Amino acid sequence: MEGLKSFVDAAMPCGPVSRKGNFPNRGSGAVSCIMHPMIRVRLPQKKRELDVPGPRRVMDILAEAGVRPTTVIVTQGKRLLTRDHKVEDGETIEVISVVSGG
Amino acid sequence: MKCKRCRRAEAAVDLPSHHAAFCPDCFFVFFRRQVREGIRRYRLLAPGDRVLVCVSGGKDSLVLWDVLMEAGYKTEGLYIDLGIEGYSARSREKVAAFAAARGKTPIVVELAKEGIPIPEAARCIRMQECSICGTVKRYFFNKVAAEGGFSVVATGHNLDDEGARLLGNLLHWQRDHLARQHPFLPEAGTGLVRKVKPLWRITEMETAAYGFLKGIDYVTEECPMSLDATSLVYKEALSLIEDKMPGTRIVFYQGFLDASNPLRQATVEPMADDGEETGFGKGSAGGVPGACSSCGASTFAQVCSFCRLKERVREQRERRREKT
Repeated sequence: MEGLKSFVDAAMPCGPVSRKGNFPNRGSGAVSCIMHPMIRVRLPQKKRELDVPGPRRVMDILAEAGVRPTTVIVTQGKRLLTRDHKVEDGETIEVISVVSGG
Repeated sequence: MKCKRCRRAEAAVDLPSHHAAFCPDCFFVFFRRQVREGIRRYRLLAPGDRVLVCVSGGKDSLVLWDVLMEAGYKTEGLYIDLGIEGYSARSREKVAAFAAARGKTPIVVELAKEGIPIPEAARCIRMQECSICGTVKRYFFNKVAAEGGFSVVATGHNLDDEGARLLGNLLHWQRDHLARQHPFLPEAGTGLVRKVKPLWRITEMETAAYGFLKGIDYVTEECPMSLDATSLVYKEALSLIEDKMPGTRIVFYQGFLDASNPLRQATVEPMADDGEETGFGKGSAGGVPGACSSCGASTFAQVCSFCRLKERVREQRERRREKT
């Protein structure tokens, strides 16, 4: 099983993957794609979601999503996450903008 | 990361600008201290004040109302329904639910009933929505406060708002605006009620964190009228600097407020308010202003800015009607 996982990882080097699922090997027939869970990042105000491979710190996820840390809070269920919190594969976090205009 | 205050619980909020990180309970302590210090520094509120808290349904105003209630101030909430399709109804619901959970009923002003819903008014007279909104809101802040016997009006402007405003005023050398920018705008003899901004030391991120941890259900969507607001550009610029140099924003604004700041000394005047003001109730003691010939509010012109605005909207509306 471990061997299969490393084979899939090598065949599908997962950078951030958009919610629409733009997988590099889809449809090529070269790899039978077995999805391993990633971190689901939801940005509800931007109506955007992305998946990033874990484990990864909140600050790195924000950098990947192009979001400045002072402009958001990051939540997981009823918890607030600090920037150095490490998020694991299979977990979902929400990035909520705090900037109000006017 | 452990909480820097209790050193036991896991931190939930990290604040690089304060070199601190707090667990939820310790963050509440920190937050309330910041508000208290903000109030104390410029004597924004006195224990006997009746405070009219202006609430929009967003995080800052609801958090402000929550904190002031907890601190024991006598408060009522004022919600102004701007008449923006969808957004106004949703934000009004949030305000009503927040108030009901605390045994309160907000005072509501509906601009559609007052004949000046913001989107239609902006279309009619081709003016920026935010500009109309400011004039109309200030009018009703004073009106409701005077009629309801409130001694002070409190708004949820935070450090990000004030820093962005300061940056904009400096970039354009708006000396008159700089002179009036302060968390404390005293009551004027013309019936202009005292206005205060108790959250001036607190960032948007901190109010959002406080609201989230306290379970305050606020409207997270942006006012659709403010998406192109120039203040957002200044906020963006300041947050870029803040990310690189934490603590810059508070130093920037606090330094401006400092009485020894030469800029402040050069511009300081008795502060009336953010724009041309309309006051109610007390006449024009100690000032030139008289009563608006239309609504009776104190004003520096013959007709107050609100009534002039309303009249322009009415005229344009009729013209449009005649054309169709």
